[in-house]
Amino acid sequence: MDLNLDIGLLIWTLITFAGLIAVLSRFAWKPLRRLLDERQDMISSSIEEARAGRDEARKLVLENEEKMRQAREEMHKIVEEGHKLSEEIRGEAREKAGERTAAMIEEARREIERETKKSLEELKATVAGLAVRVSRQVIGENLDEKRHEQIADEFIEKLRKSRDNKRS
Amino acid sequence: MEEATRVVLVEFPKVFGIDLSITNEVVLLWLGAIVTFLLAVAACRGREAATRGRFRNLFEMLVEMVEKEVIGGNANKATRALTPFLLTMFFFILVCNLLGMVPIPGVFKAVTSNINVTAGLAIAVFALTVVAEVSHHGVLGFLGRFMPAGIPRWAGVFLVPIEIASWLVRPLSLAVRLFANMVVGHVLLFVLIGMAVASGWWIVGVLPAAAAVVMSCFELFVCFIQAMVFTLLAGLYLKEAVEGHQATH
Repeated sequence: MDLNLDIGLLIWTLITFAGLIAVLSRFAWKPLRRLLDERQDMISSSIEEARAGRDEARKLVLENEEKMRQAREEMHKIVEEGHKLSEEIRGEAREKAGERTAAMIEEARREIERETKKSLEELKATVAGLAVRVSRQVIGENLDEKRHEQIADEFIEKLRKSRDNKRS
Repeated sequence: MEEATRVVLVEFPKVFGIDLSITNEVVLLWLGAIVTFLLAVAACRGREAATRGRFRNLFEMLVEMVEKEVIGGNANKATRALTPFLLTMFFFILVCNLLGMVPIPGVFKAVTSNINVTAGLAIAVFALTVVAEVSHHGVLGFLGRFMPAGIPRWAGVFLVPIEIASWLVRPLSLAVRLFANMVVGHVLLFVLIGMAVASGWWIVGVLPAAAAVVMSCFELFVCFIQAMVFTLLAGLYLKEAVEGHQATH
């Protein structure tokens, strides 16, 4: 412990300290401050870059999500259109098949009618022939052509009536 | 452990009654300055991040701590200009304090346990405070600090002397605080080691020796804390001088 007043030491302290400030300011604090500032700038720019990268990544994620959403919508649309198209095709096919069936039925009906008519004509001829033969044998006379046809018509009419009666 | 006494190494004739002879204390002071300079320059050499070692990291951490705690993060340019002064103050006091922990009796001692050294440092702070306040606020602004605003004129009769006294006591308190703390720690260590050596019987001596080891560790902490406290208060006074005394209250 030294409590004696020593102005010389006090002055030396001031001189030494002033000199130390001058020397350190030149050789230490200024370069150190520059280094610290450079590092601070580097850290700041790294943080900025990281932030920009994060924003970019977030943007990309959002873009991807948007693209995914659009793709999903597109897919749904395509599937829906496919369904619609298949429905249309099915409807058309059904319609065409209906039309063809109707045409075939119509054709068949016409064919039947034609055949029926033909059969009736044949039947009529046969009946007329039979009537002529029967009348020749029964009454010994020849009937004229007109009479034959009349008899045949009457026979056919009877046949038709009996058929209608059976049906009803 | 023996306290180093004043030894004149190179004698100069007195100038206006002041003895500027080179003593062992002046040499220790210079040694402290040289060690501070070497440490600072060693920490600041090399520009690449790869050259950073533990020592440099520690040094930078201390520098940033002083800047953050003493100057403050949101300080203006004028206050920032005080950084070299305060950094030099902190590291110089720290090194001078730690030189007292070098266990070579009769050679090393903390020059900060000499009131003349701490007074010199406190006067440096005081002088810079006056210069900073006058340059930033003018002579009237400087004198206005002794008469707080909003006080009746008649109260100035009592307040001005009190303000002047409290202002003058600042460097005194700075000098005495550092001096007293360094002296007390070293005296305590001296007593404990003295007890351990003087006991003669190792079982009795081991207790004060162990206490001396613990106290030495504590003393290292005190060396750091006292350097920090001195710098912190110096920074506070200087900031007050630069930014105006109303701003810091």
